[in-house]
Amino acid sequence: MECDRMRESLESYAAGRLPGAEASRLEAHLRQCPDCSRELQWVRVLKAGVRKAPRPAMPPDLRAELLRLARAASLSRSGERPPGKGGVPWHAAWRWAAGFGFASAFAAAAILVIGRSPAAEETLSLDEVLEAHSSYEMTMPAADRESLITNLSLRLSQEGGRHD
Amino acid sequence: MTKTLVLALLAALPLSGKENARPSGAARPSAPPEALAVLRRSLEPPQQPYSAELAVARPEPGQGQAASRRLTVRFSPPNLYRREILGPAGATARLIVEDGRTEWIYDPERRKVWKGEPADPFFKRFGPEEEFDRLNENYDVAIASGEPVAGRSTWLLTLRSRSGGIPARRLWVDRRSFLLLRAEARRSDGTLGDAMRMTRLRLGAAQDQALFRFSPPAGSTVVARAEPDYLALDEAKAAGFAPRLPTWLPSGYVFESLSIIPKGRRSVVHYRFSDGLSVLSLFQCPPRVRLDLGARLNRRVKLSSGRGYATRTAEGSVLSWNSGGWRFVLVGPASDETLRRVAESVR
Ligand SMILES: [Zn+2]
Repeated sequence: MECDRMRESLESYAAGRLPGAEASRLEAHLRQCPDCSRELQWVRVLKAGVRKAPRPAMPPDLRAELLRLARAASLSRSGERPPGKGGVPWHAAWRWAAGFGFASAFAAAAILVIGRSPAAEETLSLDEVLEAHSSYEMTMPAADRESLITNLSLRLSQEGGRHD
Repeated sequence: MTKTLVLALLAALPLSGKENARPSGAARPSAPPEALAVLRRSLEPPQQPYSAELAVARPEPGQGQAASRRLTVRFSPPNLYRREILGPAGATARLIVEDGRTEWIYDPERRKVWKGEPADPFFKRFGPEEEFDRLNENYDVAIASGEPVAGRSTWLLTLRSRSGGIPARRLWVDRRSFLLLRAEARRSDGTLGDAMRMTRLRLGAAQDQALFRFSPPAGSTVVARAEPDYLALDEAKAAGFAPRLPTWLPSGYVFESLSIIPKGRRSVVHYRFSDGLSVLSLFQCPPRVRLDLGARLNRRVKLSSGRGYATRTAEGSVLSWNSGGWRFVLVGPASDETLRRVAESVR
């Protein structure tokens, strides 16, 4: 697929390292492909060095949190997106990152766009699900870090990922 | 740096049992110190360098024998770690270096490096103190004299769910250094989960700082891992998500944070629910993201929204189902019935 091929050169292009002929070909494609243009923005955001800033302290009371949860759950019923239009619209994510003044999710996104193979991009595997779960478990107070990190490192090998 | 902050935070808090937690020279040497004080001390980053040999075992569900691994750990304050996980023949199967900023995981056989940030409780929406309070709210912590581990005398802490559960976790804590020397987790069905045990500990031995540096060997592949992230519901909504959340959770669990896993131009949301000790994970996948859960998710579960598929993994039970065009995956240390109830309540 043409887009897949083009996306492989986005990083070099953003860094100004793409040879002239290839750059022209990519630019021609970018003019008529909004998807790849957005992808380029992602790459540029990463290059700009968007970094994690400390989260504003937010100590939610247990009861308040449960109420919030219930409220969010009822809101989501009316605000549900129709099937086929899931995910974060890029402009919304951008506004969000800019508006909230921190962009850790954003930076993580950009790293993954670069770090994962195109085939792995649109697929969520059981290993990834379990990796995300275990990584989070490591933040728990009485976590057995030695077991978690050992098992996580052994599971990572089973996942895909392309050369950096 | 953040670990130092946590340390400062914890150190600044009054520790009622702090003096009692040092049994040497106490008037009643047999009287154990306060359980929570010992637990709290065991969560603080160690003050001294050490090297240790450990064994970890994680029983795979449905398989009798737990897969056991040996590893060596070297630590240098405040936050440098080097772990070598040994293969069956004694060679290094994985090298894990935390250099203070980056966590490097290296697989020498595949010549593959994973580069990421270590998980950091300080950035969570519930900081270490809040998680600790929640743990205290939901678990009863008992203390007793434990058997020696790696030749050191221990306190044995038993964490039992207040909602009438089995002892969820047992921790053997060094009486002098408060290092965690041995740990055992129980699954919801009472079977043994993760277990860790130090077999040798050299405390206070200065560590060569070069051991805590890592650069990917020539010819190796480097893969970037997602940065840990802890977002609030509002932040997900501002990003255009309509969160789909359970309205029923097992006793003691509350929503802590979410993170976003990018999948091409789409995203999967990972919601995390905590009871201070354990975690329930809910993944919400948009329709166009392919969910490849492999052949293992083969047990059918009847749900009101249709059919779900379940399996048990070493990390916990897994349940997957479709609802309103979205796909969901739930992971946690809970029974099938509990996961089913959570799934049914997702709105
Ligand atoms: Zn394109």
